[in-house]
Amino acid sequence: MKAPGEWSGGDVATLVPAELELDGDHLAVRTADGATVLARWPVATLRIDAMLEGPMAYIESPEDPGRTVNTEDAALLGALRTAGAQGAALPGGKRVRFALLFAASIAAIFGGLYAAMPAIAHAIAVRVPFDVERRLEPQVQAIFASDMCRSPEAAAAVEAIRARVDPSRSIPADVSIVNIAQPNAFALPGGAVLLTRGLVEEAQSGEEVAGVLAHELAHVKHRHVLAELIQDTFMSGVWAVTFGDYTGLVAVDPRTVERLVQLRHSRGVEAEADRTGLDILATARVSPAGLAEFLERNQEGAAAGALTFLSNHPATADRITMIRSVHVESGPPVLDDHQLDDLHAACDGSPRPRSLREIVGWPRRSQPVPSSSPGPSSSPPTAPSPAPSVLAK
Amino acid sequence: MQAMGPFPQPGAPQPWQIAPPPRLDLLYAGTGSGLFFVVAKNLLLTLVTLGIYLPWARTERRKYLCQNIEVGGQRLRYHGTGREVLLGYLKVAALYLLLFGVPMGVSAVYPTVGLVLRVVGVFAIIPLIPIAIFGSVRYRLSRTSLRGVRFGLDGGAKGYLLLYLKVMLFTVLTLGLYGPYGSNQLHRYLIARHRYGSEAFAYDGPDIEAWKISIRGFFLTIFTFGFYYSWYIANISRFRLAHTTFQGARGRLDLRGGEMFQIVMVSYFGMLLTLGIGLPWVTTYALQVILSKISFEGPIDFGRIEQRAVTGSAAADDLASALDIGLEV
Repeated sequence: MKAPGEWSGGDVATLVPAELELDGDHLAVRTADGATVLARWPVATLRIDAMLEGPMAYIESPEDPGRTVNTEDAALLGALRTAGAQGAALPGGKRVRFALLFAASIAAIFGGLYAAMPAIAHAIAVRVPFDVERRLEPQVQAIFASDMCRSPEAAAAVEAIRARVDPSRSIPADVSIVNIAQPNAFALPGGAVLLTRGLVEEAQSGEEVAGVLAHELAHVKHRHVLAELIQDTFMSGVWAVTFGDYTGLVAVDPRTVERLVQLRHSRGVEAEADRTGLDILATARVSPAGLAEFLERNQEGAAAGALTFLSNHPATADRITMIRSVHVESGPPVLDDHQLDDLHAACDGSPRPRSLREIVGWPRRSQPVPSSSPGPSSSPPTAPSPAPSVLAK
Repeated sequence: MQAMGPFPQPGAPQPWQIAPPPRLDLLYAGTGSGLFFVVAKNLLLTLVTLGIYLPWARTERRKYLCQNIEVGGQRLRYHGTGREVLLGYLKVAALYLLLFGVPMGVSAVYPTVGLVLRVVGVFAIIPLIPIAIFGSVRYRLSRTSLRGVRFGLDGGAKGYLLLYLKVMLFTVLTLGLYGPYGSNQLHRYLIARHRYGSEAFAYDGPDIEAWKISIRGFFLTIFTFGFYYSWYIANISRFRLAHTTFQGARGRLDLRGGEMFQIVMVSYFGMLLTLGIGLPWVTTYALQVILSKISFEGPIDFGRIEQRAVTGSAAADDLASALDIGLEV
């Protein structure tokens, strides 16, 4: 079988018209007049460049590096492939089918990963020694260091609530008050739990704060924050390696800091924290009605447009119903009036409160903040930004 | 009085006629479905290998795009390998570890020293950019061949680095006015070091002309709320190609602003309406239109073009990718 082609000797850019012939188990390449043999390659060693659209293909042999012959003769190329040459091209129709199969496989992999990831992340998180997670706490605390309310009396009141809901300190958490106007609470990596200024100033009883704190302690107990951090990091990693932006895996990403404090828990995780929080309250003989009242008040605030972050969570009404359905034989009040006043005055000496975005500093966007600090008995200050709340989900 | 010769026959070449110059046209022969196949296969293999396939994926995609470019009836060929890119990745990862990982580790023990090292690391990125650009161009050219002969980039990155820093400094000092002027100098520096085999390219575009085009483009883009940008890109590209020569041939781009605007619109809506899945078709369309408008007019003696040794490593190419320097086709 013979076919026309063009020969490149690899030394200069001139192409020589050539004649290709499949001669047994060899490909013979001659000048077009057949007078000079340019190459004689074993077919089994041949490599056909299969990446090209159109009929042209390049043939080369590792036995003769740098030299190439091209041809558009489909019959010869087919015969070479049949005889053992490497590099078969996929026909157009098959390509599309393969591509669709690939795309479906990718969707299945991503979907499966997305569905299974929470369970996998949680399984990993509970196996990480808490001491390891604790190493993250100084970094997290450092972010809020200049925004902490450091009233010793308020700290004593918080400690009294903590002693009531977790008397044996079985949950390794550090509870602090942070100077953020929005009523909120966060469980952060390493066991840091932050109650906001807005929350403690608004609280009408120790039971309300205890209810919120029990919920956050439940997040710490179940390692929810670490699990979501693992999940977030893993999914970012998959994205990065898939699309080639692998530098994100080794470079410091400032958004990581924001993710640390703004982790959005899933509904399932929040439900688990609700259940465990109620168990904690029941064991401590603290009525969950306080928690329900806090949520109800903030739900009204959301309706008034003051607390938009709660309006994103229509399940709040269901949560209130669920919390109200639990009956606990209450013990003595969590805080006396004096302690509650101390809690209300936790941030009295502090500068104006800042929003979470302002504290984290990313993204750099100025937020309007209340110009004055409300007193203990005033209504909660308007939230400067709708920061997602661990509590509110 | 001179006797008149026989009257010329119709159709025969006249002595006063000049034959049109030889012309080398470019075209892109790739298809959207072919590129989609390559991208989809790469995506799947990258996922199932947890990213290990990525160097091979990049090479496959680049190979597809490159090998479907036809120059004067002959395809370009791409000889880069995934293994080279992988080794480059490892070198870049080691560099990143040195620049950012080590300072982080040191910070945990000696915060002040760590802070100094971090600042040093951030500033070290600046000279890496031109080195990455130069190295990346060199790698890609050295792995590309036409008619069996490789392209290449002569010289070292040091000269490009110094010119880059000078342009950067002057641009800052002149509040950006020097930018287009310096950009043309950088372009000239690179093109003048491009070679095909033993023969060098040349660039004779005056800096002041490039500056005028860019400044006009800048202001008109602002006054037209961005619409003029396509016309600016077409203008500056035409200018650059018209001043690029190889042997006796001069580059030519017949792309007008309106055509560039059409490419931008088709690309934008093609991506938007298909939620990104249409990227292979959009890329194919843009390459087909743009490359069909490029040609080199004038004689080229391929017999004079000799093979030269292959140089360049994939590390700089990977670094360029890591630094998000867009040098893809």
